Amino acid sequence: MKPLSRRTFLGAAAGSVALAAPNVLRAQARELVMIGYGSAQDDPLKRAGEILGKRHAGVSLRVIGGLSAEAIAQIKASRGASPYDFAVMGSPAIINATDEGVLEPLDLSKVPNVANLDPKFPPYAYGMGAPISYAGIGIAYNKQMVPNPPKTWADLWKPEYAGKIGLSRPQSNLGLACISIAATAFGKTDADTDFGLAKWKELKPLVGRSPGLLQQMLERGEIGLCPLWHDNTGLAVASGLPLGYAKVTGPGPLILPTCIVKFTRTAHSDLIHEFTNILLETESQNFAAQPPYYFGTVVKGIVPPAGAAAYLPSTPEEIASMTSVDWPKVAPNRGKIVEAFDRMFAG
Amino acid sequence: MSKSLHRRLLDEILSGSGIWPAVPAIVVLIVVAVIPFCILLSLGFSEITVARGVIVSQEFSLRYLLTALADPLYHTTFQRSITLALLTTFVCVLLGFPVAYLFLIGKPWVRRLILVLTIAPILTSGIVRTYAWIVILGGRGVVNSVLIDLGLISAPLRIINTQWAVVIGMVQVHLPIMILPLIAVMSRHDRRLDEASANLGASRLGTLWNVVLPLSIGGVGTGAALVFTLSYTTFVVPQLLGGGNYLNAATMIYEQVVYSLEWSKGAVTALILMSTCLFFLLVFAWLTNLGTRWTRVAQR
Repeated sequence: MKPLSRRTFLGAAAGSVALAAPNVLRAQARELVMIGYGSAQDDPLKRAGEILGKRHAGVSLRVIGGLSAEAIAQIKASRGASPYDFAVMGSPAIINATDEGVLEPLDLSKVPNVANLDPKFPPYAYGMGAPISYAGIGIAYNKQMVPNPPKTWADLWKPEYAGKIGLSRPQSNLGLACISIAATAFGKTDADTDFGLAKWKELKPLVGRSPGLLQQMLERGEIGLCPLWHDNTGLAVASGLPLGYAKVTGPGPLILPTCIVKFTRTAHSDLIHEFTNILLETESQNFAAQPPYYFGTVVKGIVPPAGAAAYLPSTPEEIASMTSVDWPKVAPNRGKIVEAFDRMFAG
Repeated sequence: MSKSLHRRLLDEILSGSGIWPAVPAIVVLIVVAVIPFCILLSLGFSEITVARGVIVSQEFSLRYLLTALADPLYHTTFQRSITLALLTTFVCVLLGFPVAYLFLIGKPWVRRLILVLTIAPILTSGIVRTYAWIVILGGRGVVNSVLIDLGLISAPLRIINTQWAVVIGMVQVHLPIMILPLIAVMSRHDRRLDEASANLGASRLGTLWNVVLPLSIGGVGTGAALVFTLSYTTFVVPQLLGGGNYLNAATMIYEQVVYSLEWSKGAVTALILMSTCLFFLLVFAWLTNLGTRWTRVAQR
């Protein structure tokens, strides 16, 4: 056998190093994967990710869009081994994810800015995360098709809006809230979703599979008005569409706080806490409150921009009557509500 | 002895004889289709308890299957899915056969054009093609704009978010799948039979009906089976064109697994979907066999 020469050995060693280098570098780099909105609404999250990356060399953030429910299903399918580290989640999704055991509570002592939160919002995280913003649920309408928008939720049942109304399916948090709203608007409890479904059935709404698709239906003139997130409406208005937004009451104005939650078995727990803290800094809250997102701020003392008044509670009366759905009574029944919805509406 | 067996196996692998060339595909099929299907079946016949994302107990149960079979929601959803798939298949046969016939009788440039036009749509994503229909059929889409400009209607028709939008989208997406097997069968067609038919006094339509169509039944059967399977199990087109209250079997499974997180229900629905699909495929195979029996006798 021919003895190994020094040149051959060094060549082989250099080749091995060259082959292994990308893996070694990758091991040094840390990528946080989060579930976001999948739209321009991710900008404040990406901005916070960049700040985190500047503080910690090699740290980056990847924001993946999609419904929280889909992420929960993926984690369940992968037997708890989450492909994601953390997520922005609304209250109902937090309740569903907690029931499935895929969340780990944030250690709020590692998020100092939590001390600056408006005390109204932390309860909506149900002990699992930290609120970072809130979204309004109102009625978006096409100004050309609906000259006089509704002022209360019960107004939707007035004959003048018949045949123009859209609704999101209850698998989205928006759709779930709508079913509950229809019950409370007529004196029932949030949990009386059968009554809520029956009331919506009276309206014969055109149904969108998701808030995003409902927004598109509104933009294409297939519907004249629909319950929608304020930020979806804000983005559509910013693109020049003739849409308006009514901050309806009775109940409301309605809001849904959005929280940062982390999934079990994440290897980046400390970074997630720091990321959450960045999102609660005054600069981050001001950035998120700017048009076209107009995210509702959850930190005390932040003054929202003037344009936000069109979408979010702004007067003392509105702020005093601001409310959300009784999610612990509604969210655990999401599967049953979706099935009941199909029984009533599928055609 | 053992050594010679090893040697023989090695020779077979290296020479590519026996089943060895198919082994990689068989392994892939077992890993990505057979094993997941068995897991799915086991979920459909079980009561499962999940904790922290992990199954902690699983007991045999027929509850989900029996409940599904008696549930009116399942009846209407599967009835809708079958109707949609049969309608799509019928329209695809109706539209695809003339195109394939044109391929048979056309000049070389016509044949090339047909092939390009048939294959080109397959090169783009089905989602993109389906989204195109939203633009075409929407309230301010091409169809409504033309109808309004012609004065035929005063307000836009609601086409999108209806069953008809789903049928239109499905036909467009699946038509090439019907045309290609038809072309493959018709390419082998012996044109002297047409001449013989004409010499015996048959009109062109008569020849088409009595000679070309019976000889193309194999292609019709294959295309119909493929289109039916794809239409029956489709997810994207109903999602995008059917609107939020359009429910077919595939979207039902998706909702049960993803939103309701009820795997057993989803597994049972998937099982019913697959069983009924298999039943219809057997019917298609039987009909094709019936339609081609006399041609096989003639060939003997």
